[in-house]
Amino acid sequence: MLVDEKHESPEHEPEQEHPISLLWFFIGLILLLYGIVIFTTGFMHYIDDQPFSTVLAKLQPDMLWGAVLFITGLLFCVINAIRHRCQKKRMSCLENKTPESAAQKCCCYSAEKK
Amino acid sequence: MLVAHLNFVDWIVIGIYFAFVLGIGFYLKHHTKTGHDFFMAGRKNSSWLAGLAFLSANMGALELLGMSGQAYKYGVLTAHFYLIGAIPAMLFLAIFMMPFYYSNKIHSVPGYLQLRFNEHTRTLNAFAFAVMTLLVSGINLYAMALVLNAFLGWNMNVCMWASSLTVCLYISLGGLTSAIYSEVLQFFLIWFGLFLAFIMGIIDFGSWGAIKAHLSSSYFHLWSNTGHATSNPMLVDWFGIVMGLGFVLSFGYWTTDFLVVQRTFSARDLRSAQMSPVLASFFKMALPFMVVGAGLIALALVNTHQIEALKKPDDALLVLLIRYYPSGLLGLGVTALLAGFMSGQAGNISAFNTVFTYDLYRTHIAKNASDAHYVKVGRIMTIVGILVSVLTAYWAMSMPSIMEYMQALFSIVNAPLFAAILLGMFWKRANGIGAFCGLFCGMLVAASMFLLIKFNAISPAWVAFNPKASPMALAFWQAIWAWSTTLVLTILISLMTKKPDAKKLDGLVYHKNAIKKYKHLHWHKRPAVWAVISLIILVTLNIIYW
Repeated sequence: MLVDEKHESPEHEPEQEHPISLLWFFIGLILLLYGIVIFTTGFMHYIDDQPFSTVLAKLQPDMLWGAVLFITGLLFCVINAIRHRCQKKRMSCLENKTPESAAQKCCCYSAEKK
Repeated sequence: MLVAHLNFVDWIVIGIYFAFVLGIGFYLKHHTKTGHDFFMAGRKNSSWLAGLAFLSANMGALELLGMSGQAYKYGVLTAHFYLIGAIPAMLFLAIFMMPFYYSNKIHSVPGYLQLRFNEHTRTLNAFAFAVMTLLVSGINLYAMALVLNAFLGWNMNVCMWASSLTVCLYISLGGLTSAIYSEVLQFFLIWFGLFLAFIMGIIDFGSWGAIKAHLSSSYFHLWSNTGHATSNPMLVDWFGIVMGLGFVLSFGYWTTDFLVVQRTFSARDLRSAQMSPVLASFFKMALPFMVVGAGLIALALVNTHQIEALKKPDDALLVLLIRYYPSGLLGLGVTALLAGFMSGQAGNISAFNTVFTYDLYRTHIAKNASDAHYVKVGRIMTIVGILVSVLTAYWAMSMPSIMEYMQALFSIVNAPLFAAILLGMFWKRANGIGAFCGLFCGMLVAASMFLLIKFNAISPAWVAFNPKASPMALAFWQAIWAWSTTLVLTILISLMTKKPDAKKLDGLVYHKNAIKKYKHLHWHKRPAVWAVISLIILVTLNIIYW
């Protein structure tokens, strides 16, 4: 048999906590930070009414792109913080062998079961 | 001269990147205890992570700058590198080759050669790969210093040592996990840092159509002007593109180069490993919009006399950054380039330390040492690899034409390897002695052709059937010859020598039940379904830009 079944993780196998799972959170964080820095710089230029040094600077690309970075970073952070919390809850449910009725209260676990 | 000036905010943006990368390296150190963690990233990654790392390992800054420069010179024809030159090979790896790689629990591509053929074939390939990886890493390092020196006026020595020390620190701490982390981060930084230049270019002209109006219509065709080599600026005909780029070089790189394939080995199961290249293929097809688009915008700016003609086509993307990015954004653009350069080096070094430790050190020097010992060797080889890269970079400095060797290296190492692995996976009769001789002779043929042309001992027409063949066309043809040599010799020698033991081939050679179909899963979870969708998009893009 070519495909080693031991390598095939079942579809509903609980994910183990691994440092890389925090990666998305860190990516969100760095985008968030960049968004704040770049937006603030653009805003300072705007209120200082400094002369434009680049082509199309009047469109305020730094403020607009800074906002895009900020919103994307924030979304990454929030979604992954929720996912991380759910993952921890689910692991705790499974480790404690929570009865089915009690486990229903844990949204992540019940979602997984469905 | 093209020089950008960074201010305080730009330095803050760059500083944040360095702080994050180093911080994560220290964080990962506590999670990297075994060889499995250090060399395989624990084999727990999702298909998204492995897929983005798989793509990013190839998406270095040198590649982005070089390809936008190629687009400035050759137009949309450059997109072949992202379409036929990548997608079929990525999908083939996912559907047909990954079950053999992943299920055999190998640590490296040379490891498959050992299982399928013999120790000699593994050693030959491992040695060639290790040398190639360090050379490529050093040349990349030199290229980075060169770009940063020209673009920002930074000292070349400081650039090389600062980036090397950073990479050395976080790879020796976190191993492959660190490399994957930096690659995924690089993916986001490149899109968020460089895609804006393309958007601003379009806004500057008003529309994509306005840009097209300022360029020759021949710049917007993928195939219609490839009937003959002289009818397109790249001087390559359709056969060279399909066979050289689309088959030999592309399959040789995407299916056998351990630098990229290693990322898929880190996936948590076979399905995730198969999904990784499939997911990556969608992003790969999106890249030409940024890279080729930037080159075309730069050319349109030159044609409308808004900027001077570029002395070096590779400056195309940099020109857009200087033109459109105010402070803060410029720092982000520079950080994206830095991240691209550094994660490229990290990818090379993490592949090198794995191949050296498992395929050379464990096989020939210390067969039965402890796991901790191999991790220690991996960490030491990370430092050694970095030092050799830096030395190679200094060597490259004294030989300005060394950049040409890059493409030649791929045709020498990867093209013959692809032939050997293809026969190994799909032909039961191929044996160890045939593969070893075929691989060795294929490498020898490619290296000889390159050197003979380089020193004018033979005309390019002998290799590429065209006396005026461009270096790129020559690289395509060199790869075709090397691949063919390995293929023919492996077949002939295998037929003339002993059959391999059929019992030992179980799980290593294709048979009708070898490919998993995942019929028990929903259609959207099956790799083959997404591979077909990816192929449809590929065909559509080729028709649109025919």
